[in-house]
Amino acid sequence: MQDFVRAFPSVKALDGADLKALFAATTSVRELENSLLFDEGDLPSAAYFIVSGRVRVERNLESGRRVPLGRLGRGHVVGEMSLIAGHPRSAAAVVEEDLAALRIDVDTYESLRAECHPGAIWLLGEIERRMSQRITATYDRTVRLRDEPDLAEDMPTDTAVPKRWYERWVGWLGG
Amino acid sequence: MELGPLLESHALTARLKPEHVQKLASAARVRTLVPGEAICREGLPATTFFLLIEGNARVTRTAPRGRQEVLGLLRPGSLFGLVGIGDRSGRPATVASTEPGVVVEFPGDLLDGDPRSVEGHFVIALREILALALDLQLRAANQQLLMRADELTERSLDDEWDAGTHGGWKQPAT
Repeated sequence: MQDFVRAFPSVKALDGADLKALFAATTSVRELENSLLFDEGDLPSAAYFIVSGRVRVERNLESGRRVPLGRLGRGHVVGEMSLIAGHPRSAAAVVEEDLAALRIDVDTYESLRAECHPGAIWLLGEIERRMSQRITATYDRTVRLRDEPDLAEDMPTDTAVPKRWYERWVGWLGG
Repeated sequence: MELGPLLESHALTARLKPEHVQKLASAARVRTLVPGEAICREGLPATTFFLLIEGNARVTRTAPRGRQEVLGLLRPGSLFGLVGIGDRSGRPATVASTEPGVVVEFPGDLLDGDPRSVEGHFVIALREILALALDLQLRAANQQLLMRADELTERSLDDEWDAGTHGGWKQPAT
Protein backbone atom coordinates (compact mmCIF):
# COMPACT_ATOMS: atom_id res chain seq x y z
CA MET A 1 0.00 0.00 0.00
CA GLN A 2 2.91 2.36 0.71
CA ASP A 3 4.08 2.09 -2.91
CA PHE A 4 0.58 2.94 -4.09
CA VAL A 5 0.38 5.99 -1.83
CA ARG A 6 3.78 7.14 -3.08
CA ALA A 7 2.64 6.77 -6.70
CA PHE A 8 -0.71 8.50 -6.06
CA PRO A 9 -0.07 10.97 -3.22
CA SER A 10 -3.51 12.58 -3.58
CA VAL A 11 -5.00 9.44 -2.02
CA LYS A 12 -3.67 10.68 1.32
CA ALA A 13 -6.69 12.98 1.39
CA LEU A 14 -8.77 9.93 2.32
CA ASP A 15 -8.93 9.11 5.98
CA GLY A 16 -7.25 5.94 7.17
CA ALA A 17 -10.35 3.74 7.23
CA ASP A 18 -11.49 4.85 3.77
CA LEU A 19 -8.02 4.30 2.33
CA LYS A 20 -7.86 0.81 3.82
CA ALA A 21 -11.32 0.01 2.46
CA LEU A 22 -10.36 1.26 -0.99
CA PHE A 23 -7.15 -0.72 -0.93
CA ALA A 24 -8.95 -3.85 0.28
CA ALA A 25 -11.43 -3.58 -2.57
CA THR A 26 -8.68 -3.60 -5.19
CA THR A 27 -6.26 -6.22 -6.45
CA SER A 28 -2.50 -5.88 -6.72
CA VAL A 29 -1.33 -7.18 -10.06
CA ARG A 30 2.08 -7.86 -11.51
CA GLU A 31 2.55 -8.43 -15.20
CA LEU A 32 5.69 -9.23 -17.12
CA GLU A 33 7.04 -7.32 -20.07
CA ASN A 34 5.09 -7.97 -23.29
CA SER A 35 1.97 -9.13 -21.45
CA LEU A 36 -1.31 -7.93 -22.90
CA LEU A 37 -3.17 -6.07 -20.16
CA PHE A 38 -6.27 -5.76 -22.33
CA ASP A 39 -6.98 -5.74 -26.03
CA GLU A 40 -8.82 -3.34 -28.28
CA GLY A 41 -12.48 -4.35 -28.45
CA ASP A 42 -12.44 -6.16 -25.09
CA LEU A 43 -15.39 -5.56 -22.84
CA PRO A 44 -14.47 -3.09 -20.08
CA SER A 45 -13.54 -4.90 -16.90
CA ALA A 46 -11.11 -2.80 -14.87
CA ALA A 47 -8.84 0.22 -14.62
CA TYR A 48 -5.19 -0.06 -13.59
CA PHE A 49 -3.40 2.42 -11.33
CA ILE A 50 0.29 2.05 -12.21
CA VAL A 51 2.66 1.80 -9.27
CA SER A 52 5.75 0.90 -11.29
CA GLY A 53 6.66 -0.20 -14.79
CA ARG A 54 5.35 1.07 -18.10
CA VAL A 55 2.42 0.34 -20.40
CA ARG A 56 2.16 1.09 -24.10
CA VAL A 57 -1.31 1.98 -25.39
CA GLU A 58 -1.80 1.03 -29.01
CA ARG A 59 -4.44 0.58 -31.68
CA ASN A 60 -4.90 -1.87 -34.50
CA LEU A 61 -4.97 -0.53 -38.03
CA GLU A 62 -6.98 -2.12 -40.80
CA SER A 63 -3.69 -3.34 -42.23
CA GLY A 64 -3.17 -5.34 -39.04
CA ARG A 65 -0.29 -3.16 -37.92
CA ARG A 66 -0.40 -1.85 -34.33
CA VAL A 67 0.36 1.82 -33.78
CA PRO A 68 1.39 3.20 -30.37
CA LEU A 69 -0.78 6.01 -29.03
CA GLY A 70 1.22 6.72 -25.92
CA ARG A 71 3.09 5.35 -22.94
CA LEU A 72 1.97 5.47 -19.33
CA GLY A 73 4.06 4.88 -16.21
CA ARG A 74 4.11 5.28 -12.44
CA GLY A 75 1.28 7.47 -11.18
CA HIS A 76 -0.81 7.10 -14.33
CA VAL A 77 -4.11 5.32 -14.82
CA VAL A 78 -4.82 3.10 -17.79
CA GLY A 79 -8.23 1.89 -18.91
CA GLU A 80 -9.96 4.42 -16.68
CA MET A 81 -12.92 5.14 -18.93
CA SER A 82 -14.02 1.53 -18.62
CA LEU A 83 -15.24 2.39 -15.13
CA ILE A 84 -17.58 5.06 -16.41
CA ALA A 85 -18.39 4.71 -20.09
CA GLY A 86 -18.94 0.97 -20.37
CA HIS A 87 -17.80 0.92 -24.00
CA PRO A 88 -15.54 -1.78 -25.42
CA ARG A 89 -11.86 -0.91 -25.10
CA SER A 90 -10.85 1.63 -27.74
CA ALA A 91 -7.20 0.59 -27.59
CA ALA A 92 -4.95 -2.19 -26.35
CA ALA A 93 -2.55 -1.91 -23.40
CA VAL A 94 0.71 -3.84 -23.58
CA VAL A 95 3.20 -4.06 -20.73
CA GLU A 96 6.44 -2.51 -21.93
CA GLU A 97 8.34 -2.76 -18.63
CA ASP A 98 7.41 -5.19 -15.84
CA LEU A 99 4.29 -3.75 -14.28
CA ALA A 100 3.01 -3.42 -10.72
CA ALA A 101 -0.45 -1.89 -10.54
CA LEU A 102 -3.59 -1.72 -8.53
CA ARG A 103 -6.51 -3.14 -10.45
CA ILE A 104 -9.97 -1.72 -9.80
CA ASP A 105 -12.74 -3.81 -11.30
CA VAL A 106 -15.87 -2.27 -12.74
CA ASP A 107 -17.95 -4.16 -10.16
CA THR A 108 -15.80 -2.82 -7.35
CA TYR A 109 -16.21 0.70 -8.63
CA GLU A 110 -19.96 0.19 -8.90
CA SER A 111 -20.09 -0.92 -5.25
CA LEU A 112 -18.05 2.06 -4.08
CA ARG A 113 -20.23 4.32 -6.17
CA ALA A 114 -23.48 2.86 -4.84
CA GLU A 115 -22.47 3.55 -1.24
CA CYS A 116 -21.01 6.99 -2.11
CA HIS A 117 -17.68 5.83 -0.74
CA PRO A 118 -15.10 8.64 -0.64
CA GLY A 119 -12.84 6.25 -2.55
CA ALA A 120 -15.16 6.57 -5.57
CA ILE A 121 -14.84 10.35 -5.42
CA TRP A 122 -11.06 10.01 -5.20
CA LEU A 123 -10.98 7.68 -8.21
CA LEU A 124 -13.01 10.13 -10.27
CA GLY A 125 -10.88 13.05 -9.13
CA GLU A 126 -7.72 11.20 -10.10
CA ILE A 127 -9.13 10.32 -13.53
CA GLU A 128 -10.14 13.93 -14.05
CA ARG A 129 -6.71 15.20 -12.94
CA ARG A 130 -4.83 12.84 -15.26
CA MET A 131 -7.06 13.67 -18.22
CA SER A 132 -6.66 17.39 -17.55
CA GLN A 133 -2.88 16.93 -17.64
CA ARG A 134 -3.07 15.02 -20.91
CA ILE A 135 -5.31 17.64 -22.53
CA THR A 136 -3.04 20.48 -21.41
CA ALA A 137 0.03 18.62 -22.69
CA THR A 138 -1.67 17.98 -26.04
CA TYR A 139 -2.68 21.64 -26.36
CA ASP A 140 0.86 22.67 -25.53
CA ARG A 141 2.30 20.36 -28.14
CA THR A 142 -0.17 21.64 -30.74
CA VAL A 143 0.73 25.31 -30.28
CA ARG A 144 4.46 24.54 -30.27
CA LEU A 145 4.36 22.56 -33.51
CA ARG A 146 4.87 25.52 -35.81
CA ASP A 147 8.04 26.55 -34.02
CA GLU A 148 9.23 23.03 -33.28
CA PRO A 149 8.23 20.88 -36.27
CA ASP A 150 10.31 17.99 -34.93
CA LEU A 151 7.41 17.36 -32.57
CA ALA A 152 5.59 15.97 -35.59
CA GLU A 153 8.08 13.12 -35.85
CA ASP A 154 6.46 11.00 -33.17
CA MET A 155 2.79 11.63 -33.78
CA PRO A 156 0.63 9.06 -32.11
CA THR A 157 -0.91 7.55 -35.23
CA ASP A 158 0.06 6.84 -38.79
CA THR A 159 -2.15 9.61 -40.17
CA ALA A 160 0.79 11.99 -39.94
CA VAL A 161 4.19 11.84 -41.53
CA PRO A 162 4.92 8.36 -42.87
CA LYS A 163 1.74 7.92 -44.90
CA ARG A 164 2.09 11.35 -46.52
CA TRP A 165 5.66 10.74 -47.47
CA TYR A 166 4.78 7.33 -48.80
CA GLU A 167 1.92 8.67 -50.91
CA ARG A 168 4.15 11.34 -52.39
CA TRP A 169 6.81 8.84 -53.32
CA VAL A 170 4.40 6.36 -54.80
CA GLY A 171 2.60 9.10 -56.74
CA TRP A 172 5.81 10.49 -58.12
CA LEU A 173 7.21 7.10 -59.11
CA GLY A 174 3.93 6.25 -60.79
CA GLY A 175 3.28 3.42 -58.36
CA MET B 1 -34.55 30.62 -19.67
CA GLU B 2 -35.85 27.19 -18.63
CA LEU B 3 -32.69 25.15 -18.09
CA GLY B 4 -34.20 21.89 -16.80
CA PRO B 5 -35.55 20.59 -20.14
CA LEU B 6 -32.42 21.75 -21.89
CA LEU B 7 -30.16 19.79 -19.52
CA GLU B 8 -32.44 16.75 -19.71
CA SER B 9 -32.03 16.68 -23.48
CA HIS B 10 -28.25 17.08 -23.49
CA ALA B 11 -26.33 13.90 -24.31
CA LEU B 12 -24.23 14.06 -21.14
CA THR B 13 -26.40 15.75 -18.52
CA ALA B 14 -29.31 13.53 -19.54
CA ARG B 15 -27.51 10.82 -17.53
CA LEU B 16 -28.45 12.69 -14.35
CA LYS B 17 -31.55 11.87 -12.32
CA PRO B 18 -34.32 14.51 -12.57
CA GLU B 19 -33.61 15.83 -9.07
CA HIS B 20 -29.93 16.18 -9.94
CA VAL B 21 -30.80 18.05 -13.14
CA GLN B 22 -32.82 20.47 -11.04
CA LYS B 23 -29.94 20.93 -8.62
CA LEU B 24 -27.57 21.63 -11.50
CA ALA B 25 -30.03 24.03 -13.13
CA SER B 26 -30.63 25.93 -9.92
CA ALA B 27 -26.90 26.54 -9.45
CA ALA B 28 -26.43 27.80 -13.01
CA ARG B 29 -25.96 31.36 -14.17
CA VAL B 30 -27.01 32.30 -17.70
CA ARG B 31 -24.75 34.75 -19.54
CA THR B 32 -25.44 36.44 -22.84
CA LEU B 33 -22.37 36.91 -25.00
CA VAL B 34 -21.25 39.59 -27.39
CA PRO B 35 -18.84 38.73 -30.22
CA GLY B 36 -15.26 38.45 -28.98
CA GLU B 37 -16.23 38.20 -25.32
CA ALA B 38 -13.96 35.94 -23.29
CA ILE B 39 -15.96 33.28 -21.51
CA CYS B 40 -12.90 31.97 -19.64
CA ARG B 41 -9.26 32.93 -19.83
CA GLU B 42 -6.04 30.93 -20.10
CA GLY B 43 -4.09 30.85 -16.85
CA LEU B 44 -6.93 31.85 -14.54
CA PRO B 45 -8.12 29.26 -12.00
CA ALA B 46 -10.76 26.85 -13.28
CA THR B 47 -13.47 27.68 -10.75
CA THR B 48 -16.48 27.25 -13.03
CA PHE B 49 -17.48 25.18 -16.05
CA PHE B 50 -19.80 25.99 -18.94
CA LEU B 51 -22.41 24.75 -21.37
CA LEU B 52 -22.68 26.70 -24.62
CA ILE B 53 -26.34 27.19 -25.51
CA GLU B 54 -26.29 29.54 -28.50
CA GLY B 55 -23.58 30.81 -30.81
CA ASN B 56 -20.07 29.55 -31.45
CA ALA B 57 -16.87 30.09 -29.49
CA ARG B 58 -13.19 29.85 -30.33
CA VAL B 59 -10.57 28.08 -28.20
CA THR B 60 -7.09 29.63 -28.27
CA ARG B 61 -3.81 29.13 -26.42
CA THR B 62 -0.73 31.30 -26.29
CA ALA B 63 2.22 29.89 -28.25
CA PRO B 64 5.80 30.33 -26.97
CA ARG B 65 6.35 33.62 -28.83
CA GLY B 66 3.06 35.11 -27.71
CA ARG B 67 1.11 34.19 -30.82
CA GLN B 68 -2.51 33.07 -30.22
CA GLU B 69 -3.07 29.63 -31.73
CA VAL B 70 -6.60 28.47 -32.45
CA LEU B 71 -7.21 25.01 -31.00
CA GLY B 72 -10.81 24.54 -31.99
CA LEU B 73 -14.30 25.89 -32.40
CA LEU B 74 -17.07 25.11 -29.92
CA ARG B 75 -20.66 24.78 -31.03
CA PRO B 76 -23.93 24.86 -29.08
CA GLY B 77 -24.08 21.89 -26.73
CA SER B 78 -20.37 21.98 -25.89
CA LEU B 79 -19.58 21.36 -22.23
CA PHE B 80 -16.23 23.03 -21.54
CA GLY B 81 -14.00 24.74 -18.96
CA LEU B 82 -13.48 21.38 -17.24
CA VAL B 83 -9.70 21.05 -17.42
CA GLY B 84 -8.31 21.64 -13.94
CA ILE B 85 -11.74 22.08 -12.36
CA GLY B 86 -10.97 19.43 -9.71
CA ASP B 87 -8.08 21.31 -8.13
CA ARG B 88 -8.89 24.76 -9.55
CA SER B 89 -5.63 24.87 -11.49
CA GLY B 90 -5.03 27.34 -14.32
CA ARG B 91 -7.11 27.04 -17.46
CA PRO B 92 -5.10 25.74 -20.43
CA ALA B 93 -6.84 27.95 -23.00
CA THR B 94 -9.03 30.98 -23.55
CA VAL B 95 -12.54 30.51 -24.89
CA ALA B 96 -14.19 33.51 -26.54
CA SER B 97 -17.46 33.91 -28.39
CA THR B 98 -17.27 34.53 -32.13
CA GLU B 99 -20.84 35.83 -32.40
CA PRO B 100 -23.74 36.79 -30.14
CA GLY B 101 -24.59 33.82 -27.96
CA VAL B 102 -25.67 32.38 -24.64
CA VAL B 103 -23.65 30.30 -22.21
CA VAL B 104 -24.57 28.72 -18.90
CA GLU B 105 -21.97 28.87 -16.13
CA PHE B 106 -21.85 26.31 -13.29
CA PRO B 107 -19.87 26.74 -10.07
CA GLY B 108 -17.05 24.25 -9.60
CA ASP B 109 -17.92 23.81 -5.94
CA LEU B 110 -20.81 21.60 -7.05
CA LEU B 111 -18.09 18.94 -7.19
CA ASP B 112 -17.05 19.42 -3.60
CA GLY B 113 -20.05 18.09 -1.70
CA ASP B 114 -19.48 15.60 1.08
CA PRO B 115 -19.77 12.17 -0.56
CA ARG B 116 -21.46 10.68 2.50
CA SER B 117 -24.10 13.42 2.66
CA VAL B 118 -27.35 13.42 0.71
CA GLU B 119 -25.40 15.11 -2.09
CA GLY B 120 -23.05 12.17 -2.52
CA HIS B 121 -24.84 10.59 -5.47
CA PHE B 122 -25.13 13.97 -7.18
CA VAL B 123 -21.40 14.66 -6.79
CA ILE B 124 -20.46 11.25 -8.17
CA ALA B 125 -22.88 11.49 -11.10
CA LEU B 126 -21.64 14.99 -11.97
CA ARG B 127 -17.99 13.96 -11.76
CA GLU B 128 -18.69 11.03 -14.08
CA ILE B 129 -20.24 13.38 -16.61
CA LEU B 130 -17.25 15.67 -16.41
CA ALA B 131 -14.91 12.71 -16.93
CA LEU B 132 -16.87 11.73 -20.04
CA ALA B 133 -16.70 15.32 -21.32
CA LEU B 134 -12.96 15.42 -20.65
CA ASP B 135 -12.56 12.17 -22.56
CA LEU B 136 -14.29 13.75 -25.56
CA GLN B 137 -12.14 16.84 -25.21
CA LEU B 138 -8.96 14.77 -25.12
CA ARG B 139 -9.98 12.95 -28.29
CA ALA B 140 -10.70 16.28 -30.00
CA ALA B 141 -7.36 17.67 -28.81
CA ASN B 142 -5.53 14.63 -30.20
CA GLN B 143 -7.34 15.01 -33.50
CA GLN B 144 -6.43 18.70 -33.67
CA LEU B 145 -2.79 17.86 -32.96
CA LEU B 146 -2.74 15.31 -35.76
CA MET B 147 -4.37 17.70 -38.21
CA ARG B 148 -1.88 20.42 -37.34
CA ALA B 149 1.02 18.02 -37.79
CA ASP B 150 -0.43 16.91 -41.08
CA GLU B 151 -0.71 20.51 -42.32
CA LEU B 152 2.86 21.28 -41.33
CA THR B 153 4.14 18.09 -42.90
CA GLU B 154 2.31 18.90 -46.11
CA ARG B 155 3.81 22.40 -46.15
CA SER B 156 7.27 21.02 -45.43
CA LEU B 157 6.87 18.47 -48.21
CA ASP B 158 5.80 21.18 -50.64
CA ASP B 159 8.84 23.27 -49.72
CA GLU B 160 11.21 20.37 -50.22
CA TRP B 161 9.44 19.34 -53.39
CA ASP B 162 9.76 22.85 -54.80
CA ALA B 163 13.41 22.94 -53.83
CA GLY B 164 13.97 19.60 -55.53
CA THR B 165 15.67 18.22 -52.45
CA HIS B 166 13.17 15.57 -51.55
CA GLY B 167 15.20 12.50 -50.72
CA GLY B 168 18.07 13.93 -52.75
CA TRP B 169 16.22 13.41 -56.05
CA LYS B 170 15.39 16.22 -58.41
CA GLN B 171 11.78 17.10 -58.99
CA PRO B 172 10.71 15.77 -62.39
CA ALA B 173 10.02 18.48 -64.98
CA THR B 174 6.32 19.07 -65.55
